[in-house]
Amino acid sequence: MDAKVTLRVNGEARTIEVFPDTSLLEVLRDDLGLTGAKYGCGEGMCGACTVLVGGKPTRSCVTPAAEVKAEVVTIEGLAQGDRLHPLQQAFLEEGAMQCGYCVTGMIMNAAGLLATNAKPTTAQIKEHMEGNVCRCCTYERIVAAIERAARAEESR
Amino acid sequence: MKRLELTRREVLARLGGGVLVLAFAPACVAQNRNSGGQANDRIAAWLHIGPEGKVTVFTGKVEVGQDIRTSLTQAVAEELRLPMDAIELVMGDTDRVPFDQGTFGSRTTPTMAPILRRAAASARETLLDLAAARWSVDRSGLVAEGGTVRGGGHSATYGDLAKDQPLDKPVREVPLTEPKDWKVMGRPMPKVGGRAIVTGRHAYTSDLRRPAC
Repeated sequence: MDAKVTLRVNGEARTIEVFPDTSLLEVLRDDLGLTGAKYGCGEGMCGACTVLVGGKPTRSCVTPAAEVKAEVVTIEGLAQGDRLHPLQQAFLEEGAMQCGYCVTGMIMNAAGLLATNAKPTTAQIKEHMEGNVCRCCTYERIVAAIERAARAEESR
Repeated sequence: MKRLELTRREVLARLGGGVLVLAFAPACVAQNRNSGGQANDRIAAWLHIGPEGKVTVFTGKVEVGQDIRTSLTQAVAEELRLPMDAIELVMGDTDRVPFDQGTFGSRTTPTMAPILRRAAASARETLLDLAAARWSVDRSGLVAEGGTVRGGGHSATYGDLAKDQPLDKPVREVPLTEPKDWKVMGRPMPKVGGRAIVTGRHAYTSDLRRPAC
């Protein structure tokens, strides 16, 4: 271990020791016990490890933890107490999951979309979500869930 | 030297594809904490009613996204006349569940659902027997519904009735609820455990930490 870094994760400052190439995903899962972000491909190609860094959807498996300067939000930090984020609620209501392994990455990537585009078109949703893979092929419902969440946000 | 090269597609094709999850246990081990080595024809091998009325169901089938945790919960809820959240499934824990050959071939719904329905219906009928005996009333005037047996001016919760009488009875050939009377089965239900998935709390195998690891 040759570097101490302090990350701000879900509103809390956390200091850990890392190697220069330790990924943010490893820190989240192994050091901080936040296992909601998943290890999928390990190459930034599947989206299962997506978290928000400075509000931007980021592949944590290919992001060196030592280089992270902005606030990190993981799926564990999305709900407000018992109140689910509109995306979490919409994924439940649409039944947009089978095994659910990709869901946390899907939700975090979609959260990044809705933060910059509150009323995305179906085409914009599909384009934005293109890099998130679902092996169960729940895509139709995932798109429906994101549309539902956008409508719920609008009516709030 | 010729190298053996397989594409992912070829590997899947050779394996036959599909979902194949195997859970092996010796045929002699059909026990759980509650059934204590019971044969699979005993109600207690399949389900347990706790003193607070919480129902624990034991099955060797494994949930891997096909939503059988939801559909099997529906099957038990229907026959025991209980809400879904009163029921918890123990799945694939071979120390606790009856022997099962595995989760494959879309066999859970045609084979396991009827087994659990019959066990749950037998438990329901046994609760009615226990209530009739306790109150010395005609059993035909009693109804089991929502976790309580009522009738003849009496009432008792399932948990209370089962408390001193473990369901150590054979599974019976009782009639199952007709599809036209289904209130829970045969309709879409929220995924059991879905909230844990969308909040990141659901522990997949790769999320488990063994002690001292």
